[in-house]
Amino acid sequence: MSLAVDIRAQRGTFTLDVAFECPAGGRVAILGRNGSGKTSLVHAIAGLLPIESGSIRFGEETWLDSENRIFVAPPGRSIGVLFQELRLFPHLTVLDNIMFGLRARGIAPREAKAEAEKWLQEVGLSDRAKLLPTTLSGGEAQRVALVRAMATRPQILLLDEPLASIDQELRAPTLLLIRNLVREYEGTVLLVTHDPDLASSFVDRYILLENGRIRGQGPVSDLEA
Amino acid sequence: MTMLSSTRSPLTTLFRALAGILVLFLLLPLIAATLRLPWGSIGRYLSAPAFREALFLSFLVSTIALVLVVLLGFPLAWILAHMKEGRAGLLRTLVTLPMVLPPVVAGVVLLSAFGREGLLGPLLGLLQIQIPFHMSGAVLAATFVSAPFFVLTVEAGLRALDPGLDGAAATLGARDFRILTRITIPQLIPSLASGAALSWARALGEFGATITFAGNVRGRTQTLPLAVYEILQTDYDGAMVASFVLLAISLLVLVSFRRKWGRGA
Repeated sequence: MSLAVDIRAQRGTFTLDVAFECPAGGRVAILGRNGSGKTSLVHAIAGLLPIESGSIRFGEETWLDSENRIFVAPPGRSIGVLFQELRLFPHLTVLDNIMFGLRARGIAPREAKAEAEKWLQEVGLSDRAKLLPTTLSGGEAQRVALVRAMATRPQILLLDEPLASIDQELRAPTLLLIRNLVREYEGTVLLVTHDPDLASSFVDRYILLENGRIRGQGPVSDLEA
Repeated sequence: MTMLSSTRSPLTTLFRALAGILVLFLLLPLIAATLRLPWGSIGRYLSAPAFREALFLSFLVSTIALVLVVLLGFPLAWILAHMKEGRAGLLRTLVTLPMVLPPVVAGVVLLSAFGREGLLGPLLGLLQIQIPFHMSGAVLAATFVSAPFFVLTVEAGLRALDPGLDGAAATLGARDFRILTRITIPQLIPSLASGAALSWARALGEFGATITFAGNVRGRTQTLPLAVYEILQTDYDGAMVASFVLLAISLLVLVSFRRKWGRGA
């Protein structure tokens, strides 16, 4: 199912005005400097940003259509978001953080727990299950946030600066881990980053944002030229 | 701050002396009351029916008031916390008013609303509901004066929460009710607890509004503070003991919540 976005949103003096399509299962990087509107775009697709006008469609589903006053709230969109600031729930254990989405989607506690444990094992954090997120290292918290976003098996995965909070020496292994997880994942991936090198390592197309508008797009091989 | 942190500066010495005077002033009456307590006859006073009645009524009234305050105050705190700061100001001022209003005045305004001659008097009369001189009057008075403590504490707690977590929960599939019960309330427990403790303690100590609005009827509106006032006219020792009980309860509430939640209630 392809994602078609065509939106205009005003935030203070900043205007986001973008239109693009992303094929089913596509891996697209959203590039741009800080303040270019990358995060706003992610939040718009997730349903977390008020949109003045435009539409967001995913396959047959309409998530937003300002003309027909259609707005589907985030729970009604099949998305998983890795937030730049992670947003792990501080009062829940690592396991409960991952279980949260599964439970919200109606999966029974026992099944949700087994599923969450599997995800933790996948990222090598089984021994952290009972800990609170504040006790984790930056890299560990990052992995928990990633599998929390993936655990509900969303059809679109939005990764907002996945290496932003990672120390330099941990970037390479974290990147490898994310890449392995994403490789097995069948949905659409939008990767937000200001780092073209990171983008070229696991996406096939890119969109370049500048001041809330698209300044360029194409196959990621163009970036190397 | 750095200038004041030096332990030897004359300013620090001055502040210590002034602060010492205040602490002594606050502490002295408590010490005096403890010393003047008629230890030998405490048991007799505590078992007196009038005292027990008043104590029971106090607990009942302030607990019912707390239930009302939590039930109605939580939504209000939530609305305040989600308003833009500028707009919330007016509503918050209104909510804060009972805190600074002299309790007697609170009693007078409650009478003008719910008294027999009050604004809602005819309606209440028609429904055969009497609020003054009835326990419900004491409950209303307690609710009126204690609600701000809960609402303001919980609003501050809500404002301190990271709103991004609500968004994260929503993207994971949680709708409003689940976000409220699984994300908001669990993080808010310290604020809820200290707000409830403050509010309950304020209701327990309520005097002015109650005696003005609800009257001082034994068994119906005579809560412990009102009983203390009445006993004081004739029996100094009895008033001492009753006061001490109130003091002990207040202290217990404060200390237990400080310890449990690590913040000054």
